[in-house]
Amino acid sequence: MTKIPNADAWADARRMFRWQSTVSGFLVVLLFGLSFRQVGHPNLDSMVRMAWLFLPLPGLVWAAREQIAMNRRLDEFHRMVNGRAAEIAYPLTLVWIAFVALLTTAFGFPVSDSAPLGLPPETFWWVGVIVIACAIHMVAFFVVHTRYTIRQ
Amino acid sequence: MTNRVQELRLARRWTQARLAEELDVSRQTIYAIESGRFDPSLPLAFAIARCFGLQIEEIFTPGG
Repeated sequence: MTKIPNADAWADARRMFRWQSTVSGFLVVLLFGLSFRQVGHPNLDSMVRMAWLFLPLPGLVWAAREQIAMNRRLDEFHRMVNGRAAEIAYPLTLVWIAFVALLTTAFGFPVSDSAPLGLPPETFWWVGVIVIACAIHMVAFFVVHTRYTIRQ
Repeated sequence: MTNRVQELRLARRWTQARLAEELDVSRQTIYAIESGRFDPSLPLAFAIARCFGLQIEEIFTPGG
């Protein structure tokens, strides 16, 4: 196996990396977490609830713009890898959400007595559902990227 | 599709990174093309041919 020089690895990383997309991604997660935490409280005034509900929207718009900007910076090979990963992840995510919906209908949503980080318990489980959906896409990307780039 | 990209690159003593820079693509793209796992688009194939001063059909061969 040929060792990739460090300079080349850094050049690859610089080409792929865009700090705005990373920061916007973290911001969306943070705003969603905050919003989830607040709207889960039962005694909120309806106007305040609406305000918390729409809190993640600006972050989402920014993250979507950054995602598009990052995708445009990619070359055709990486766009192909992203496309293949989405081809795998999209149906799997649908299956996952459909399965959760089926389980919820059959047994009710799993609610424990307590959840970490001060989250309402039901919110904690929904966050888990979303995190697994994101993990499906990350694993699909890793598998496809590995298939095309790792020396065999 | 088979190609002679690696052979032509090595003949010029270029690294994958150098060729990637010439073509304005990532090094992984060059590796994927050389290993035959990825067929470049027509514009990129033309850019590769221009880079080596050859015709496309002298570099890329159908089948394989």
